[in-house]
Amino acid sequence: MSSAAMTRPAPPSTPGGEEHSPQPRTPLSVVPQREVRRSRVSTVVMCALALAAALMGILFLNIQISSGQYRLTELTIQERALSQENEALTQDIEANAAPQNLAARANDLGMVQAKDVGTVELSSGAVAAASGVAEKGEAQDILVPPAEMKGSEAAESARVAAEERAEKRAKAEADKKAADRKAQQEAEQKENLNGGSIPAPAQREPGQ
Amino acid sequence: MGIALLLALLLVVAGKLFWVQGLDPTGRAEAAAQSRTQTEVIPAVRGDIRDTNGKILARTLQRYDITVDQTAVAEFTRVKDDQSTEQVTPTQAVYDIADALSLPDTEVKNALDGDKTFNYVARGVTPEQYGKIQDLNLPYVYGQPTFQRSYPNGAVGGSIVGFLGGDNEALGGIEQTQDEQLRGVDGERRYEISGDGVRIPVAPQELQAAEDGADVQLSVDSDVQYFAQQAVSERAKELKAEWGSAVVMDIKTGKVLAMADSSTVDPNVPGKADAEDLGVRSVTHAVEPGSTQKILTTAAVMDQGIADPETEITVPPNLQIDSEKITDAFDHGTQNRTVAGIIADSMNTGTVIMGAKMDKQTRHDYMADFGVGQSTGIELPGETSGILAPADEWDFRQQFTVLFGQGVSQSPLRTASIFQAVANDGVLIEPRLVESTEQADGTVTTSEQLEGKRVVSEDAAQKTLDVMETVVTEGGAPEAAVPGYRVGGKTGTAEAPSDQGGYDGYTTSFVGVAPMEDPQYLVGITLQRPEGDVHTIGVTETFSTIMEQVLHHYNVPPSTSDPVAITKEVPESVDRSVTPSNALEQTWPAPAREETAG
Repeated sequence: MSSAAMTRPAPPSTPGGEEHSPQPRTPLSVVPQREVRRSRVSTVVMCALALAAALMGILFLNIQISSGQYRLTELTIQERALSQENEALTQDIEANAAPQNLAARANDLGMVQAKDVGTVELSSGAVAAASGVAEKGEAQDILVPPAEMKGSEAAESARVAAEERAEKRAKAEADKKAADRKAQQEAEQKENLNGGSIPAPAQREPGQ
Repeated sequence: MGIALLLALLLVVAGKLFWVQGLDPTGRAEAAAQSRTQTEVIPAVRGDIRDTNGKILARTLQRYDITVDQTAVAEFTRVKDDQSTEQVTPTQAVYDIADALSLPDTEVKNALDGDKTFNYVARGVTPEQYGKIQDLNLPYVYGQPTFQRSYPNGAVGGSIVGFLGGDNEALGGIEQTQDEQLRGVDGERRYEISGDGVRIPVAPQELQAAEDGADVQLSVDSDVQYFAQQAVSERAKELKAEWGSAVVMDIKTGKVLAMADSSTVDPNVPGKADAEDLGVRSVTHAVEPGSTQKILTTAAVMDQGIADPETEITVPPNLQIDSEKITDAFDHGTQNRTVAGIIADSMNTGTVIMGAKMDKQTRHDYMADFGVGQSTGIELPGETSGILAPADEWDFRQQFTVLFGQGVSQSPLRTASIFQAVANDGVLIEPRLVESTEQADGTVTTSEQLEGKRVVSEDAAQKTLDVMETVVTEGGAPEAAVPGYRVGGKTGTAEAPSDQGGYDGYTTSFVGVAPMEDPQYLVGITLQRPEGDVHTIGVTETFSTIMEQVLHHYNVPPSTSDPVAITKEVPESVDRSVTPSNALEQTWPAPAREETAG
């Protein structure tokens, strides 16, 4: 209210008086100072807020760092898993590329060693040496065993395949021997036993 | 008043803090730091071994050793992921571990039973298996990072590459000789962990990085190595030989492309191999070279200007020198032979007649110059230097027999290197395997090319090559021929010394080079104690098989020139006055020496 009173223009001193007539000014007086208690409270609040903000900030930062650390651990584990997978795959490639395994698989496919390589004389265009024609032969017996590499499926399967091949070869040999023996027995049975069933004792050939 | 109280309390707290952290009389702070601090060895990764084309021969894989503190084995409470708990008895743990590692239960039980604070449960398990063990959260089971060597080619070049023992100690081959390069230096990491095992990010950490080992690249070619191994194994199997070996060499550089053994170690499982198969026999075994040494004698004779390939010498059926009789492998009358003819049919008699024109010391010195009695220095363990006795210690017979490779022993690799020198214009370059090393930071150090040593003159070397070609074209080794290429070489048959003294069985060999117009590759084959008649146990066909493959493999153009033609025998001019007892005294006109500058 007081401020309203202060700013209100003074009433004209004479009725019907001219607007431009000079008026005496209201004398200035010292306005009593208001109490400043409120500003002290706000400083404390400000400080508390700043502190809280700082703490929150630190907390947030800490959480960030910690979760970053967890993420790092996670990624490290992932990286490890991937490099392990990569390692295992590389091992498989190397097992498949090992010369004895390659040769064995080529054998399985019925491939044979190339014969004489043909050559062409570039200057004359003449065939200097004719290439030989590859002949189908028996599968080569690979005498170099596959690697017993641990932790590689490819190496393991190459080993199993080699064992199977060896078994097959052994069986084929045994079969062949049995067939030979049978043929021999049949031949013996066809011999004239002069009515008996026991063949005469065989004479040793010289040099046998 | 209130402030004073506060300050006093603060002082008490600060004092206690100083007491605990600063003075630490009870060692609690240290113990705490200790329990937080984790020290981890960062093992250096062992370098790879590669072949000349960069193909991996040995690589390092990450593996774990699973260990147990037996004293701590007890029932414990496991906290599962969903925070629920369960009691785990040692028996349950045994089953869990056995499942994770695919081991028999009893084996795991035995590993856990006892009162040792450290015991292995399993060694070298894969990271995947280790992950399963980690998931079990067993407080008394640990995993130690370690490495396992993996050798993808297995027995192909197994003895060259070598292998590691149980404690990753290098025990053979390149692994052993290049261990210092391959091994690297272990590093160390120190950091602090919280209760749940996650690293405390703000805590101090120290890191001493590991220096990984260097990669070693060899001159060996896996494909040639396999082929040589297969070929020599086939021959050894066919003749039931004790062992067979092959050496393939690059003549111009002395680089070894393959050293094959008929049976060899698979470095992945060195324990399964016979002790005999652990080394490279071409390097570790000394054998009597036999007739292949006649090439050394021929080169010496040519170098001394005693004879030429065409020089005619009268050869009686045998030699009678005092009480010693020297015979040939075949019966013949008195013949008038050229030097090429003598070597082509591998006549001991003729070789002695021409070789004896050099005095004992000269014979010895030529052998020593060619490296007989010395190791080659190849980067493999257990190399034999062979035996070459000093000339004055030779017995009466030995001074003649050394001329055809008896009474002297050397490794098959040394025999090969003698032929290398002859085929390389008379310059011997010791054989080498290591081509280069690559440090972990990528610095490549190429092995220095060894400086050659001139052993005989270029002229003598060329003449000896002509003689070697005659051996294949007209002499005793027609099966050594390779279609399309000019090849030369020499057969050898020596008696194999028995362990019980005396001799039992034979050592047969063939060493040859191709193409003759400019020899580039050498193949040397040795077969120990093959079974069968002495005339059918040779290895010339095996040589031809391997040499053909080598020439094709390296795209060597076929020979366009014709082979040298030297007559073996000139029957019409036989000197009938030459007898077994006076044959050494015969003389012949010295060959015309070409005027060469220098």
